[in-house]
Amino acid sequence: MYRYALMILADRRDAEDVLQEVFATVLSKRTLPAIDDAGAYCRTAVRNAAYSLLRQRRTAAAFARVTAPERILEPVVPGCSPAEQAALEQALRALPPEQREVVHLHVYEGMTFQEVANATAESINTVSARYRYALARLRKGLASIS
Amino acid sequence: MHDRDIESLLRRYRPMAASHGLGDRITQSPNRQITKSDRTWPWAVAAAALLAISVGLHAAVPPAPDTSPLVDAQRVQAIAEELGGTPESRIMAEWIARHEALVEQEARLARAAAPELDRQ
Repeated sequence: MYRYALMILADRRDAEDVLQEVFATVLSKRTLPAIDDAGAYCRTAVRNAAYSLLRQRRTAAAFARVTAPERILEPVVPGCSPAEQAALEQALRALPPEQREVVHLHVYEGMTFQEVANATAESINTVSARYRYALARLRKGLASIS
Repeated sequence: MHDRDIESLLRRYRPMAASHGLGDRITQSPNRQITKSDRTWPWAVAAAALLAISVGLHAAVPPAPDTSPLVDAQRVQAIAEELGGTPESRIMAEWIARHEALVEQEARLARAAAPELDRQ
């Protein structure tokens, strides 16, 4: 769930805030709806909180941080170069959050486009288009290391 | 660079895991207000002062006994596995299970009270 929030927000502290907010909200509820799929319930809660935070950030652009961005990825195979990682992170940050989200759900959580569409309440055409656009933008952003 | 090259490059990495501090932050203050990261805004300072006063007043009142129901460990385990099986999933699973048990307990109490009302 943290990784999902991190990929939408591209900011570790924001992702931590979102996770804590979701946990606190769940705890504060006197009654919970019947949950058939706890994973989907939590994913939706994290998603809603993340996009809510993004909307606040957009309307409070004056608070934008000017510090260097933190790492958002970690290597899972040996032989990854810091330059490659930095380029990939920079290219990912340049994507709109909705595209990063589709990349995360499809690549890192192994969901099909139909499953991503269900999880994000979007049509499968929208989801596949976002993924296509994301890869195109990543390709452009990664041109320097290819 | 083809789509497959980009996908394989992406798969050489994964989003970073949560810091150990996040677990502590969540578990140590589950019922308190959400504590944001170290960003200082003017209203945040005022809110902190208000919170300090509230906590001071609250500390003067003896805490009520914990009436939360016992949590089914198997249910917690099942939810935690659905959420990915990480330590964070277990924390979330405990919360969900606790609330489920609370709702069930309230429903039981309501059912127990219903016959008495019928008799009246």
